[in-house]
Amino acid sequence: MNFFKQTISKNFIGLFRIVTTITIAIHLALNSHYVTAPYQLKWNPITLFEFLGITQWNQNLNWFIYGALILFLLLSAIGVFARWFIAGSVFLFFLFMGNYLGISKSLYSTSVWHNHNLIFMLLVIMPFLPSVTNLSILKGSIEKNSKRWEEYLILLTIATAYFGAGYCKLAVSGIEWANGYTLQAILLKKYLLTGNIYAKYLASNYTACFVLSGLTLLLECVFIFGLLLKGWKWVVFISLFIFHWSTGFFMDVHFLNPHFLICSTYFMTLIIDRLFFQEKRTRV
Amino acid sequence: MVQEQRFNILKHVEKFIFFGFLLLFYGAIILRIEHWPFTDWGVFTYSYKPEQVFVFDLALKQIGHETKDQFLEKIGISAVGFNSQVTRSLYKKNQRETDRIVRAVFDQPKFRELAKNCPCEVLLIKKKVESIEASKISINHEVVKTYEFL
Repeated sequence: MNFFKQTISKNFIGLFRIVTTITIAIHLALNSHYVTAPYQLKWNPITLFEFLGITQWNQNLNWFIYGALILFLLLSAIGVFARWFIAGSVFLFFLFMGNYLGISKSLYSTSVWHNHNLIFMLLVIMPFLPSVTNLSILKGSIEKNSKRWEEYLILLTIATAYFGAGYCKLAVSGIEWANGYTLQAILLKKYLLTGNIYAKYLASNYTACFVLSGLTLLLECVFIFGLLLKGWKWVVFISLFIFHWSTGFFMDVHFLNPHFLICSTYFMTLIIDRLFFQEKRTRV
Repeated sequence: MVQEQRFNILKHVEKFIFFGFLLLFYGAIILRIEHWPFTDWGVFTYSYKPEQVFVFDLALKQIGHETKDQFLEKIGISAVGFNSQVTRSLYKKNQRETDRIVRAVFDQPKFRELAKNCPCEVLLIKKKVESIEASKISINHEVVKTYEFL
């Protein structure tokens, strides 16, 4: 059957919308420092703000944007003009997070933290998914099948974060990145900066560094696309969890929240769909 | 007939959405576009040699007391961020910017709390790995500049 005609569980994409928008709304609500930090720390406008001539607005307006963003996400979750409110969330999130990321930007660099990119990318694709409006408080379950290509677009968007990291490593350093010495050096640097003794112990074991570097590249460049294969999704998910836990433990690079949390919304949707929607269909 | 035409257009729209987004996201990766909201996945991309690793940190030197380093995280300043800013400014030989970065730490209330009642010297130090033997790592500390904090 033509890939673009293949269907999946009818309400899957609508359910994904609900789970993801609620998760993002909760994450934002629990982190109000996103509102105040840009006004307490040194701020340099991100490159796109400079290009568009966007200057920093005052904190009161930032609180308003924050409140509106959470409201838009919650309205999207319950299905009130979902497509439009998600589109509005995209615009507000771009402004809100762009402002916050100004505190992580050095004057001499264009780089900023990237652990919020996936939230933006998943929000951007959602208004364009035809069945995203399924499951609405206004209309109930709509008779519009979710399609395989919609699911694959979500999974391939999640995969960009990992493929991007792996590709950049190979593009900059080639296979030499995985020679074990690079990971050893990264761990040593962490130890020197923060005194992380676990980084020190791992750095002292060259063989472990060599094996882990190779596994990192394999996971990021190849294995991540296992998300598209039926029997491998959960294996990849668990591997990603272990990967992020390890980078947090050994390198103080904490990506379980919000980055991995947002990836996890797809898997939360799988579980909820299996428990509450697929069972219903069987009974009927 | 009209419905059939609409259906045909819809098919193409779906393909356009699918491939369009993939081209946008993966194209940004291939082209290394690293500005928000696109990727900045290019962290930890450089290959390093362990013996060439060095970092910049601050140390508090007080007469009669042990010199204290690795305190930046304790006062809410990212050690990683401090190191990358100082590395960049020293690489560009911008001593004024280096002084500004260090003095910005002095303005933090938690630093003032840490260094209160202490005629301290604040040392900008360069830490480098000297040797690794079994699980013992020996570190070399080199003072780059001394700042008075009264």
